[in-house]
Amino acid sequence: MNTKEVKLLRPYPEVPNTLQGFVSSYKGKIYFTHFSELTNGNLDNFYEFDPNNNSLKQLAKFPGGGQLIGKFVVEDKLFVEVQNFNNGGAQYSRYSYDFAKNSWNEVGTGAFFVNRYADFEYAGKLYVLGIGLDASATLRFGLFSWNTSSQQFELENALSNEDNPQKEFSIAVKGGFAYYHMDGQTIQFDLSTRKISKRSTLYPLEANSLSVSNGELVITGKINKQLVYRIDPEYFE
Amino acid sequence: MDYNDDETIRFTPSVFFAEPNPVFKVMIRTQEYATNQLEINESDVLSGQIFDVKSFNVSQEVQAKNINAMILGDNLIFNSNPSVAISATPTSYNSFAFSFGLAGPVSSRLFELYVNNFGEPSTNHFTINYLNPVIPVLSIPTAVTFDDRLRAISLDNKS
Repeated sequence: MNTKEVKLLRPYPEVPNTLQGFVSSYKGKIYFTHFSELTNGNLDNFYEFDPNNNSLKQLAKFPGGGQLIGKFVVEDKLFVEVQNFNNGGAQYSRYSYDFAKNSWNEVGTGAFFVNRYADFEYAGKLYVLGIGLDASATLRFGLFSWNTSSQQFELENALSNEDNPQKEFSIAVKGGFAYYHMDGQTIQFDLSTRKISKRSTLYPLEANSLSVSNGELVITGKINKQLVYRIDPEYFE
Repeated sequence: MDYNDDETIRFTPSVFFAEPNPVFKVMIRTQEYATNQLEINESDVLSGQIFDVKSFNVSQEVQAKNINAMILGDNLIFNSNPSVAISATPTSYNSFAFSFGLAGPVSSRLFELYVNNFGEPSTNHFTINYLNPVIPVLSIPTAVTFDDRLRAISLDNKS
């Protein structure tokens, strides 16, 4: 059994201690923001953390505002999508951050995805699990993949809406399976058959910090938030 | 305490015995009498018992010998692992029920547990095979505090 020590790299008193936003990574660096509701305020900063030298850098000012619904990294850019409600209707905007130029651009508007979605990479492709538009412009919950030509996500497999976490979640990929956590259950999604292969309800963690560390599936939850748990799918019922 | 006849006093001591030869002092008509040569049988479990545990608070019964039925809660089990949360309740003089959980990081799914035998582990043990897919493996230092939820990111497979 492989365990490692958890250590605090460096506290950042200058960074707001609320983390409702997201974390993403690019070339060994971590990118994050703190708030799920971006208001163009001074606290709505995006940061870059380099774990190799424990350095923290504030990114260029995010030009938009609204409710964060997702993020992903593709083609050397960080994409962020926000949702705004104006005149009773929801409006969606997608922004891209150029890592090399430290600059933001608004790259589109329209309902790409609704509600929080989660992204992951598998076999060199970028995927998103969430509610998005299919080819007939109908909102469907399912697995979408990034099309480099159209610069859009395309629905590959529609899934049952019962398996939609609705709220924020994260996805970790291990051994041909994607895992995510919702409503106290951990779900194993078979990336070959594109179906949910197993689910576990034995330990009802309420968490969205699923990730893979040293080849192991780990999660930190609210039952005891000072503990990191390993999830062994071979013990799923 | 009751009196069977003029020559016998029967009583049930609700204490944990720290040694096998305790001395009881019995007060009769203001006169104190000490009992001698009293020997308490050792508590033990029947060897070879393995219990599969999937979730907390699932009670299972262990076959044992000479369980002090007056010991309640955590004292019945000799537990030196701070990550193990176990409580046991005697169901007879030769059995007890337990519930098992993990309160801290562990490095194995197998746990050998002993009954408390005068403050020492019993000769035999019973084994718990923890089968819950979610198992705590690391403690986050208390210096790392967070309001509600953590965010995690995997860097291993990213370019």
